[in-house]
Amino acid sequence: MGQQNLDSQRLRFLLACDTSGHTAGYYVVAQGLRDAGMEVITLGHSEPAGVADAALQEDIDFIGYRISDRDAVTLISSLIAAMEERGMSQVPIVVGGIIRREAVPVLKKMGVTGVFGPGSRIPDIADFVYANRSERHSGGSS
Amino acid sequence: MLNKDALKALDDARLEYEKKVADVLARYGSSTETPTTTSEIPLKSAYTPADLEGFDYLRDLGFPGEYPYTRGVAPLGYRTRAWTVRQVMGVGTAEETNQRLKYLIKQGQTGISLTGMGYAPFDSSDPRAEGLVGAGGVWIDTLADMETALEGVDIERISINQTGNSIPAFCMIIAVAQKRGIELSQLRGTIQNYVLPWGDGPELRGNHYVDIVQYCARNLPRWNHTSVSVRNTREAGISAAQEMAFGVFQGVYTINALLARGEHIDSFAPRISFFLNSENQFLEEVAKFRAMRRMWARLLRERYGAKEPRSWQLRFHVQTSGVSLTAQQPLTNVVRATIHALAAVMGGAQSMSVNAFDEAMATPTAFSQTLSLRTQQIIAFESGVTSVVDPLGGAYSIEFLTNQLEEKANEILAELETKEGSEAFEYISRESHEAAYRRQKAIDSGQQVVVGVNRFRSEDQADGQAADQEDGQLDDNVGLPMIHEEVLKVDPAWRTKQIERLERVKKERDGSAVEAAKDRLVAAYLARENILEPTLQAAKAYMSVGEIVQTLAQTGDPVELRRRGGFILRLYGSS
Repeated sequence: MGQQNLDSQRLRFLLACDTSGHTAGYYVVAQGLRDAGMEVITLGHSEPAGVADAALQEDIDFIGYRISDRDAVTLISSLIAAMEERGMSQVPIVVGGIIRREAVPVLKKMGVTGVFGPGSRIPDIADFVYANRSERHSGGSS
Repeated sequence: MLNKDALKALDDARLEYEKKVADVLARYGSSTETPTTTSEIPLKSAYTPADLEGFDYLRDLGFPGEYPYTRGVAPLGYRTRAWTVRQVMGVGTAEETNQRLKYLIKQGQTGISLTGMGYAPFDSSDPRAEGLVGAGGVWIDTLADMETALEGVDIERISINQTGNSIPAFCMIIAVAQKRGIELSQLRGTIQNYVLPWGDGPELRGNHYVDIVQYCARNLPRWNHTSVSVRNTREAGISAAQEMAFGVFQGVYTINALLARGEHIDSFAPRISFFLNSENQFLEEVAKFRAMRRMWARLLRERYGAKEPRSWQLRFHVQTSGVSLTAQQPLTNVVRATIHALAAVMGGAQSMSVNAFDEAMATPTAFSQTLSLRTQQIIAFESGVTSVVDPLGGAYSIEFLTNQLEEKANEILAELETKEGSEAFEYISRESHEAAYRRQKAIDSGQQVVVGVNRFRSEDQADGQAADQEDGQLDDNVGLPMIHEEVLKVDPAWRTKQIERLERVKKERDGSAVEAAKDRLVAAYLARENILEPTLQAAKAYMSVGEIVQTLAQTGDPVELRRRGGFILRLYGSS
């Protein structure tokens, strides 16, 4: 865990949500990942294109999208397309919130790294993100 | 009240008991930590009259239907009128919602609560509406949709609760009533509205939340223009005492704004209602409802000098807790929700929605919603608890908790009232974020037990889903199977159908009426006049929610619009 706390090595995690309501879990995850040593950029309610723009500008290592009301498959396919357009398909995506069970395998097939529904533990999410971070940081100091 | 000798005898007996308790605890060692409530009230193993020092029955409780209403606002409680069974509902387009509404009413639902209406400040044809139409509530573009949603529903007999406070959606409901020839003075219902700190001067000129209250007080005297929604704040993880204090604070904030506009307290206070949660800690929850009723009555009578008994009466709707429901072993949620619902009934709720067992997974299906409805009916018609008003009243533990909660909530309220309006609301929001995080950490560490999640998992039982198990979420430990596998799915056809409908309405409506309505809307907005009447005209001209919001959004620069707040700001779900 030590090197994860070095500033230059800090994982930059972008967190967005599909609607502006019911954000308790959203803030909990943001705080939890911060406590686990990540730099968490909270974007709030944002459309997929906005998420991709922010990911580019903020030099993001990992994207988290909280989905409450909207259809996860529709929203995530737009996000993946937007990421590809910006040449950023290497950035892993995790999805959380209220996701239909049938959507989980579909999302994974589309390239989503992980899906965290209600009942997930914050330490599990943090470990998962560290274990699946994109290439440039995963090799340790260079 | 006990006399001196009796108190002395009690005290001796209590010391004897406490000695016994200490002996037992010594034997059990550290495994018996003192339990505390969400409001950090440490609980004794037993309560006696000694815990109610200074208790005065007539002053502190009185009879049901009497000030300070600790025992409820109705003299006979549920004997004369059961609580309104009002399941939250909203699915697909107006057509799907109308079908579901008719079904639920046929099953015995006595009130309706519509969600989703007017959430999005854009039309269904807007790209942002992709994947959103019909998800998490009913999609309403124009009055034509509201007409369809309420078609065949007797809104004179069955009152409507509007989730959220979208003014265009509210005006569409009024327009439907007027088109049916219903006297607005007779129309009953509720809008989930309370005043937030926006607008000019102490009277918050230009604040649309105040506009709603004022308009209703004049035109819809039976409509609950205020429904202080502290339920979702509680869901974030704050304590019962904070739920009371934050709710009362929001009610007080609304009152102060209306008084500043020159309204008399008794002209609007009788139609202030509350939207509360019912959570896990059963005893504390029952005490919470009672304590909050007493706190409100005392405040309205003593501080505000209200003369009308209805102004003193705190009436509330409960939606049982969603955050304590689990996606794992989902049927256990039926049991949880029953306990939550029972607490609300013991607390004297006027209206209730019991969360569906699939709430943690999707928008509820007709099946899960029917089960919630039946839960309410079983409590109402089978359990027998409705025969006696405030049946837990007089229990030493309940009265002790009621006293403690009122005291704690008054302390929090006093602290909030030292802050500026916006500062106080920021404090509430910060507190709820921190509380949510504390709760998550307590669950993650196992300190707070969640059956099926961090204890009593049924990992031996596969759930039959072919999902990848690697990251261990969603896919695992559904040991208690769902009998009903069907979870509601967002149908893309809903949006297609909705866009066609909207285009047809736009083509068929009277263009000159739309232009006139737009002009009137803009003029009223710029002059900071009450926005309700012009919005009603716009709704009647079949302008869409998106068009109404856009029309206003084009009148000024975004910073100014933002400062003014109101439904311009509305995205969805934020209230």
